[in-house]
Amino acid sequence: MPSRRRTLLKVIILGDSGVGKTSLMNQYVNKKFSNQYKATIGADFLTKEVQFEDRLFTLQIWDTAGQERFQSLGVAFYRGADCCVLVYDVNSMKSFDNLNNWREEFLIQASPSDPENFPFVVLGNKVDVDGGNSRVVSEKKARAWCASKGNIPYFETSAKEGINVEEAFQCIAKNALKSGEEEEIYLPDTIDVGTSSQPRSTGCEC
Amino acid sequence: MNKTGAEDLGDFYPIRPECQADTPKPRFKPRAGKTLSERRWNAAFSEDGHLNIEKVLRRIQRGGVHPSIKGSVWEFLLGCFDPNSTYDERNQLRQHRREQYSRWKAECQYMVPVIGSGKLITTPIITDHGQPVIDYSITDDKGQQVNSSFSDKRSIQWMLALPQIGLDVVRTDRALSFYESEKNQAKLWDILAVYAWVDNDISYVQGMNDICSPMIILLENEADAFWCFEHAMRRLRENFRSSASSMGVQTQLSTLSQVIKIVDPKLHQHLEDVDGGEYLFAFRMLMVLFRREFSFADALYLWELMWAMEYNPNIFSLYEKPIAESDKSAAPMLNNKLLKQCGKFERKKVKTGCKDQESALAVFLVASVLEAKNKRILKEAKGLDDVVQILNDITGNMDARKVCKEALKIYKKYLSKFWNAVVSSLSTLADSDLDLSFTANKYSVRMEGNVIAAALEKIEHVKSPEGEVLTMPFLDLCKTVLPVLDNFGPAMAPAKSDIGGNISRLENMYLSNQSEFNHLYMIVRSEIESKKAKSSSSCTNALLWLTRAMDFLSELFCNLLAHPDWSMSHVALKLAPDRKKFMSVVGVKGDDVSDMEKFSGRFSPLLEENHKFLASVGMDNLKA
Ligand SMILES: Nc1nc2c(ncn2[C@@H]2O[C@H](COP(=O)(O)OP(=O)(O)OP(=O)(O)O)[C@@H](O)[C@H]2O)c(=O)[nH]1
Ligand SMILES: [Mg+2]
Repeated sequence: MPSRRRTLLKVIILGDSGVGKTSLMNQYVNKKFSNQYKATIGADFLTKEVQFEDRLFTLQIWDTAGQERFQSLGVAFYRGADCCVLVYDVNSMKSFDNLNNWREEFLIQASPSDPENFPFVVLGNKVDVDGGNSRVVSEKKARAWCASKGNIPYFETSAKEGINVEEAFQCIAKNALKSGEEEEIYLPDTIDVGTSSQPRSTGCEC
Repeated sequence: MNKTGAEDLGDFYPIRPECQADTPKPRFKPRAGKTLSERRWNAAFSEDGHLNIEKVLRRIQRGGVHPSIKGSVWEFLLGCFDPNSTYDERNQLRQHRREQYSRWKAECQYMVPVIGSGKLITTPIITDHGQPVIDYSITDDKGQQVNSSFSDKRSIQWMLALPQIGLDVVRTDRALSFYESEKNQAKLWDILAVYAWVDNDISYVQGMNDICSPMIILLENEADAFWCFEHAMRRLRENFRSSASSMGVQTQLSTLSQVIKIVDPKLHQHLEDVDGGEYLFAFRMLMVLFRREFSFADALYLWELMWAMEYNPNIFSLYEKPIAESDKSAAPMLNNKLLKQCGKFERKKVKTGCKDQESALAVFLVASVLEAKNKRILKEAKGLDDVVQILNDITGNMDARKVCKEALKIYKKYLSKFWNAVVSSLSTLADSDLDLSFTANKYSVRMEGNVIAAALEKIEHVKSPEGEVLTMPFLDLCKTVLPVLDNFGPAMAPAKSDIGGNISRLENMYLSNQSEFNHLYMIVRSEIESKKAKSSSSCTNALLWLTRAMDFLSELFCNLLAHPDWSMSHVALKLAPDRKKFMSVVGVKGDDVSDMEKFSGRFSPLLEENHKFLASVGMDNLKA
């Protein structure tokens, strides 16, 4: 039986409006920052080829609108996600407080088969602003929240300066890949006897 | 001006030098002899200021509006002013509106002093509970950006929206040199903030900034720009309304789905397979009216084409009337002269003054874009992502005028196919291809009183003592039952205006000679004599299609009666899943269906009589 390997990995980015989702995606995919990006209406995506060991994957990154009013549209876009990225702005307490809502909303709407182990990654963005002086959410506080939700990997980024963006998306891609492969186990015709998938470890070792 | 008669646009909406490379080049060019020029615009006014709108519309629909006059032309297209008014009257109205805007702005300023200061805010100024947030970066007095703590819900809601407006303003059309200036950004912020205060029902939703931005560039005076935006919002605001489970624009998306289902069933089926038929890939196009798919200048061109095509000479008076008066039946009737002052789309959208927004031209524009990409979608799209990708590829590559022309064609095709589908569904309602979902909650509010009782009362007077069908009483009866269609949601909206069009066509004929056309069939006889009956714009045709539409309703009533156990009826289920709700909106109380029985028993023989008569003169099988 020929093995049908998944080569498309779907990632979805959620978080309050203005935290920098679109900027992060563009920094990762196009390696640039621009202040001409417009507010996202509905949802849009970019793709990027990534390589793991000797396999090539297409990372499909969905960027969604942040205003609460658009949340009802979520379902259609969340469907089939392999990893969910939660973004907040380290200079905005409200955007951090809302991470919980975004996470829960995602789990309800996307209803992944194994919600306990569905991979999230949290990004605290805009660490560059004002040399860090206007920061209101401490790294400690953010890490504590991530730990309490099953050791979600956490990164502090700046889409503007390109800080930690590559690293964060490496981790995102890796997690998406693992979760993608686990899914395959449930589909009999896609079992690849060659690769036994290991249970996902909780921390991020990327 | 060069040889082709085209001018360069670069000077009108300059792009920042560093953004030139990333910004799509505009395709629109003002063309001599096609585009409405400043000279022609000025010449279209009479001495005291009456505007010949018919002439102007013809130009705009051919080649858009020259950038030098866009602002003042838009004010008319959007219904801010009545073409049938004098300079003096308009100046007065303008003055009045400017004062009104100042008052509203002052109210806002009183609560939040940043408004009108040339600055804007992007971070919260109050907590969700209305407590002021202290901003230590503000050095004056207490570091507070609001004048006190607020407890009323409206003020709190409004202040919570302000940072979102700010976040979006700094991301609006940044490639344009115009928005390099902080003052201009603040102007956009002020207008959106005042709008959110005044229209607290909608407040602010992302995307409204894209709609508002051009107005500020085109109209120098801030209050004028506000009113232009406010009028554009009258057409668009339902799209921005949101509830916990949906966004208003989804109503238009479901109309779109209905349209594609009828004009291109194969494409619809395919889209249903890839995204469950929600048509979410068209969300952005409808929400910000193609601002993201077209360059700045082309979007403006597209908008004026659309608004010209949708133009209705009654728009001003409909807007100006206080809500209570603007009852639909009171909307001024369109006679032939007024009809000529309608845009191409509006004229088709027929002559009722029916203002359903679900079947706006924008929906058909999206349909035409989809049709243009039909082959690629069918061949390549395996998921929602592929459709989004294919549609993203059109950015900057479309010709606004072509899209509009195709949209009109699709609209025509839709109307004729729709009615064929309705007629064929009469016999086989159960397998009808029309999925008319019942949305009583939203629509029932429009229906007043007891439709069935009123119809029953009217049907008594339809015939003369000699047994002839009387024109006006018959049309009146049709008008009475017409609102029942409102219960079938957006799908029926175009149908409804089509029926309304047939009614008014017959009505106009009657009014042209009341004694001769007192009897309904005399209209047909006279058209046969003058050999006009077979034309698609004939009254004979109107009567036939009106009768067929009424057949549909009559069939529906029979069905409701025949299946007291609603779940037994496939048709009923398809049409209106909740029988009880449906019955209550048509005015049946409890289980008392006797009125409906009586009405139904008389209505269908009456329609049968129309068919028999039309058949007897060989007119019962005309095409739409
Ligand atoms: N200083 C700084 N500014 C940033 C950074 N990331 C984004 N921004 C700015 O923050 C604003 C919002 O960024 P976006 O990427 O558009 O935010 P978003 O999360 O996509 O917002 P929505 O589309 O409305 O949901 C823009 O003005 C960006 O230029 C960052 O890392 N540092
Ligand atoms: Mg965005």
